[in-house]
Amino acid sequence: MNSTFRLLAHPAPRLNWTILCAPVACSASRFRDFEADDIARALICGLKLLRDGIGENDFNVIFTAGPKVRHFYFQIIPRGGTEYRANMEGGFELSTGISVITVDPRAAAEALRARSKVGPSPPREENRRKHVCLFCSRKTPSSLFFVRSDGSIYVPQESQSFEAAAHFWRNCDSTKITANYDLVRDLAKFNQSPPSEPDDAVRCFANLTPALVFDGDENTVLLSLAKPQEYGVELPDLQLKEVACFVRAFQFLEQAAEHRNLTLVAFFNSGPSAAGSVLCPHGQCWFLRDPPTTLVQIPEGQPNRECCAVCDMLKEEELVII
Amino acid sequence: MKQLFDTNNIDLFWYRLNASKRQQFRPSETRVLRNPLNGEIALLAGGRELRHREVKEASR
Repeated sequence: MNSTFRLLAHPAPRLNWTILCAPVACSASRFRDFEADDIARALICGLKLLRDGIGENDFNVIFTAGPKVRHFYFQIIPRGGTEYRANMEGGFELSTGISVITVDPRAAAEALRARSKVGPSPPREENRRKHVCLFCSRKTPSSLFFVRSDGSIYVPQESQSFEAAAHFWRNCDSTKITANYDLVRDLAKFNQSPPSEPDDAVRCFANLTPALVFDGDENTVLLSLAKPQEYGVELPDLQLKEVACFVRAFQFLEQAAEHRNLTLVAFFNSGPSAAGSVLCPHGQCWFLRDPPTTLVQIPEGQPNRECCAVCDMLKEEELVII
Repeated sequence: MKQLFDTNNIDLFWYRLNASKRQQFRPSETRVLRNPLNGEIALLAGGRELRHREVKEASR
């Protein structure tokens, strides 16, 4: 992998086999503090380990990053129903709020450590189903920005699609979802504007049907590959450069959030058991006004770096995978 | 904190995201529900519920 990051078995996860990935150095809390390639390499390594080690296909990747975070890290949380199935929340867990796991994190670390010495398996052909993805084939308006394969950001100037949407709603009831589908069809003529460039790697666009709706700048965006994938491809099988372009997009969105005094919540949902809406790899971000407690680890005015739970975990050799 | 990206691009991104609201299905604001028993909050995604209902009706 690389020497910047360590992969650990989470010492007390909500779900079995959760991997926690953190940089060794306790001096960085934002996406922008790292090289995109370093985060991408660690992410691919963790995903391949879970897939090869326990046959896991569905997972959430959640990032703990931001100005009030003490030590950047992310978790890869298996969600599928493999033979090693993720533990389910039953009456006890719901009554008490206490997680019950069935795999000792130290045993998980040992098993994944052993798997890491074998080397990754090739992509699984049975998952390469033919499909048309709404996201990567650009069937959703409008592109907010592109990450090019060299990591640069391109924000289009196009505004006709927004003007067309405003015009459309003058004669339609915006509370009807069917009207929204008509709008999406109506805007299709703008979907290839600007035309795709050969070096476009990742596309960012607004989530057209957000679960949560807020006033002001609070909103949600999606990230997908910028080129149509005729066959399904899994996130761990993307090239390092492609995953790094997703990370680059998170870096851009993080700066955009801080520019408006908002908190960025970044994650990947992959597979139906993990609330993934399409087969193709896609990331998602929320801009929130009030930071969730999970992203506030440093009390105001008390940057106490003497005590860091992530650093303590990194010292637990039995939990270290790589 | 160093600015990794051109702020003109950041401003243009915000213009585009806010303009994209016209393309989103936003029938109602999300409501914040607070559990009086423990103070925890739940977010009521009114738009999502409406979407599911109307899609079901539209498909009959």
